[in-house]
Amino acid sequence: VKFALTGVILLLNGLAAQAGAQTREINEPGPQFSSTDLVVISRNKTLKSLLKADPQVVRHALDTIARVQTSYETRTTDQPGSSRKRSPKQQEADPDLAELERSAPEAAHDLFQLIKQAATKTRPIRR
Amino acid sequence: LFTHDLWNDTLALESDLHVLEHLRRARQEFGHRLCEASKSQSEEVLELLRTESMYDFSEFFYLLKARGIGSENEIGAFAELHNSHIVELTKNERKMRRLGLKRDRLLQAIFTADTLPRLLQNWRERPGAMDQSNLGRFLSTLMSTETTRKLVVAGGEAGFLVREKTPYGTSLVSSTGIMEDVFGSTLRAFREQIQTRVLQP
Repeated sequence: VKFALTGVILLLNGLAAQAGAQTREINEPGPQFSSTDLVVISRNKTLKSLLKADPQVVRHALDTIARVQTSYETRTTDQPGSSRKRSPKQQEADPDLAELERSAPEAAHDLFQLIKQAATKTRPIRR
Repeated sequence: LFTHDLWNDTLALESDLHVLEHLRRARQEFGHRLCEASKSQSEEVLELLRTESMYDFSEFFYLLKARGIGSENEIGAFAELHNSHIVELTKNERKMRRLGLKRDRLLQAIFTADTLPRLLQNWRERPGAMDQSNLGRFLSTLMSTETTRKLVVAGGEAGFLVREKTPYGTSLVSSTGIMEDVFGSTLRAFREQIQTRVLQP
């Protein structure tokens, strides 16, 4: 999944650069997009720019987003293309792609501490 | 932290590797045990049970049980601390960016005058039970509400969670205790393996 995501992002970045100059003619029926898909596309600049030029890639990206939303591997930060390497501008432009690259260990530690505090706030520490 | 002793003390290095090996094994073991304990063996359910989000999800339920968050007062205190934490987060742009969180999403995770009484009422009437949306609030910094929903559905099919529709049209979620048992027994085995090595180098 990690490699799939990295591949999709690299592919999208490369294709987005060419999208303005090159619009592919597709004779066979194109992929279908639900209203939810269209909302995601509309808020991600890269996906929007690729919709006409290469709808298959957009479909593939949406499927990958849906598949990895529950996956851990995409949330690690020390891999190529991680959120640390994406500028705030990029994250703003592609919020759903950025969502795939979140880091959770800090949030998990915060949650652990909150539950610990809640337990000690209402009674003495259990030993 | 980074001294030459890190690499020169071979006994310590062996112990470090021992911990790492068992840590890796424990994480793998947790996924295996969870899948084995699942009532459903459909690949779709098992795929979700193997995710890291499911690990976080199980850890959350384990922590509530292990810390003894059982009374209305205790869940109320937790919700209060959660709200303060979320408010602090909304003021910290750098941390929000680091965690990949948006302010509007965080604001939706706050327990309000409408949602807090229902959380307390559910917990009072059935300790351990909460609305799926309230569960999503507690987990909001870790995963999206959609991920929480998927895990609740998979957990239900696996027999780890009981889901009931309420007269208010919401979904009440409570754990059957299997996730907590699997998490706790894996953690216990890991700790014992580590302790054996530490006590008998």
